[in-house]
Amino acid sequence: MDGLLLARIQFALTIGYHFLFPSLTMGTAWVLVVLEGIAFFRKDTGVLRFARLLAKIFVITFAIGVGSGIIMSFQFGTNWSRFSVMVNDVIGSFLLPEVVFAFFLESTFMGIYVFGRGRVPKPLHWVSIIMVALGVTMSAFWILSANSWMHTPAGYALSHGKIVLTDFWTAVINHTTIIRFLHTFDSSLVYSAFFLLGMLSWMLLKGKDADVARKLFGGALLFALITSVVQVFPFGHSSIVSVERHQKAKFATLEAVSRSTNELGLILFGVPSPNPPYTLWKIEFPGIMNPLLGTNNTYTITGLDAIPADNRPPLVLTFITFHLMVYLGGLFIAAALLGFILQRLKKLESFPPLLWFFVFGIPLPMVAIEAGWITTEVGRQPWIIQDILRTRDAVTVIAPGEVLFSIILIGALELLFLALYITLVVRTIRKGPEAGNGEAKNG
Amino acid sequence: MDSLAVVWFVLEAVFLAFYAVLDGFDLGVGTLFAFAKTEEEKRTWLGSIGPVWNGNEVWAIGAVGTLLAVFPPVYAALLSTLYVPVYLVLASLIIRAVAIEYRTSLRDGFVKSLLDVGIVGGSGFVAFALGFAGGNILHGLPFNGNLAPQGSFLALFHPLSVIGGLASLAFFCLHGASWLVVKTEGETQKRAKRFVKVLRVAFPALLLVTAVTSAFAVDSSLLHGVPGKPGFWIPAVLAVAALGLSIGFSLTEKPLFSFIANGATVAALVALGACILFPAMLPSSLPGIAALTVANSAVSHTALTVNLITATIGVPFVIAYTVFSYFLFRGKATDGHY
Repeated sequence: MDGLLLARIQFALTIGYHFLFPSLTMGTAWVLVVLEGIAFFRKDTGVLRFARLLAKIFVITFAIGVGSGIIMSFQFGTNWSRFSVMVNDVIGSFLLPEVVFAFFLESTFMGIYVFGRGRVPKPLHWVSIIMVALGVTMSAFWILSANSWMHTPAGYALSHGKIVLTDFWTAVINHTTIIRFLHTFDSSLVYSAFFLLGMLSWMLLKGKDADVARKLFGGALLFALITSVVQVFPFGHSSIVSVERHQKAKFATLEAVSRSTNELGLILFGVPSPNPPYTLWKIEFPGIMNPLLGTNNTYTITGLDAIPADNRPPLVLTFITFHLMVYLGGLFIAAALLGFILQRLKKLESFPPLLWFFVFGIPLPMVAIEAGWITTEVGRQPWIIQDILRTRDAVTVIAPGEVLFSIILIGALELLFLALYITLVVRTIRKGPEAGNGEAKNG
Repeated sequence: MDSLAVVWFVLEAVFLAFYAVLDGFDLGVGTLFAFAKTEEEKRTWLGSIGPVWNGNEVWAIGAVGTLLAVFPPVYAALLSTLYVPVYLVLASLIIRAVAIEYRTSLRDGFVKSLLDVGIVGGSGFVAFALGFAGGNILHGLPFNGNLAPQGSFLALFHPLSVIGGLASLAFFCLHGASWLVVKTEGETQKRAKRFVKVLRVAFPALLLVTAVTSAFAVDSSLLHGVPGKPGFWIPAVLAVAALGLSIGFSLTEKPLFSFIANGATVAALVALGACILFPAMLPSSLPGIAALTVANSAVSHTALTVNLITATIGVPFVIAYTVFSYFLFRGKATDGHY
């Protein structure tokens, strides 16, 4: 195998693995801010017991997220050195604030949050989880700003084959930063909402601290409903509109648009194929794409026929992951809505199938998130920086054996720790909140 | 040369020094964890670093992030040339992070003892690798004019890198043992004092060997005129003085001062390394390849300015809440269970 392919495999595995964890901790940090706040201000020991249970999961998720994330900040140098030399003038000025404003904040206050329970004053303990939440959120902002810049570069100039920063804020808030941040942040809220629903459902089904679960269920359902609705509209919708505006090849690929047209339907179902006509057994809602994109029917949507073959992303994977994400997004809204209605009618507990769905559906938002990221990253290929630098020109010239060694080393380790992580999370959820008034014995 | 680039070179050294001073002791505690006996003792040791080690480690990301953001060619050449050791360090960091956080959630058994081995191995390897990398940087690394690595992994092993690695391992253990003397009491503290007793001899001896080896092994372009530079003598004298104080304070049973003097020692050693390098940052060990320097590696003036604004706003806050967190968890360590 060649070094480029191996480097891409390594990057895909490590980033895909890493994001399993921050995608949960970002939303959960804010959930804990609310729960710890309720426990503190209302002196609610039941909620505190539950918060401590969630905090346990939060801690083990955070730890593995930090561990797997450190790799990323070295990988640009080990495997993508030509990328680093060419663009760090811009990218570096987004990543440094991530370290200085976010990583230190979250790590330091995480120590206070975890070890400070029962040892530092309660208001300070609550502030510490707020600081952690701010840290993880800022971290997401800066890394998404860097990622967005690679999709829609702005605020730069080319000089002697290198990219130099000309306008910091234009580069940071490039065409897609805000919408990507909102879409990603909300995806994490959806994940944490369904995680919460899964845990609470288990408590109801098994009668573990069921009163607390009952008290929190309504709020959790409302949270899940709101976050999963806004995830589709406006955030998902705006994302796709911005892809159509700024990354024609990606849009044509994920919707399998074979020919440029001003009369495009929305594909409800189809089996993708790498060759024209790109979709088999297609079921579509005809003629709706222009209105959906907010354009009139004289606007031409670019098709794959207008894009040179060596500028097209891989179609099958992009198409599948995109539609998987969309279907799951619909499922989340449906489940949250059904739960919300049943809860209003006080019929929730007499309908266990939904509760079981919430329990076993815990990983589904994570699947949707990973699918969405595969869509956006594979959809940018063959470019690492859209229309500026090709992925194949960004890689370090290095012995493939060393890359293979690193994949096996890190891969084996991450697999092992994933197994340990899942075991611990499942065990923690099954066990439920610990008895008592939720106060710490020894921090 | 852009004077902002020089400021950034100094900041890079400062971040590295912060890393060595702060994460240094928890790496040492992790390495010495091999000798922790009872479960209670293990928990106390980990409890002593538990609230702070994660924040300490971020200084490493700060130092690497600075190379990434300010000196991209150095970042690229350094990490791709040290490819295999870098991945071993990354593996060690993951193992360590997960092991420290997960062992409290596990019952005694095979997995838990495996994690304990992970804490020792992960911490010890990182402690060794820092000196190993330092030795390699001063010796020069095998990269060509396109910053592509040449030659095999084994070429990274030479007297300076290996002895440097052993010296840093000894230092971090000393630093960790001193921390344990400060943070524990009773039987545990007695044992920590015994570690200090051995290490306060072992580390100076290894440091001396490293210094002698350096005279022969450091890249010749760096050594040109070095002995005359005040930038060489001042940090060297400070390092020796701080080390002397550390030993003196530990002999006179002033553990906190001894611990602080350790920190000063390693900070002075980092400064010494930086002064020997300057204005170069990374010499190539291949013939005819010019060193990467502060001048030829720094990003544009605009990016230097933006990054400096970031650091000026952010770092004071970092220092403030780091101090605050150490203050909160002052006093003797307790059981690390949460």
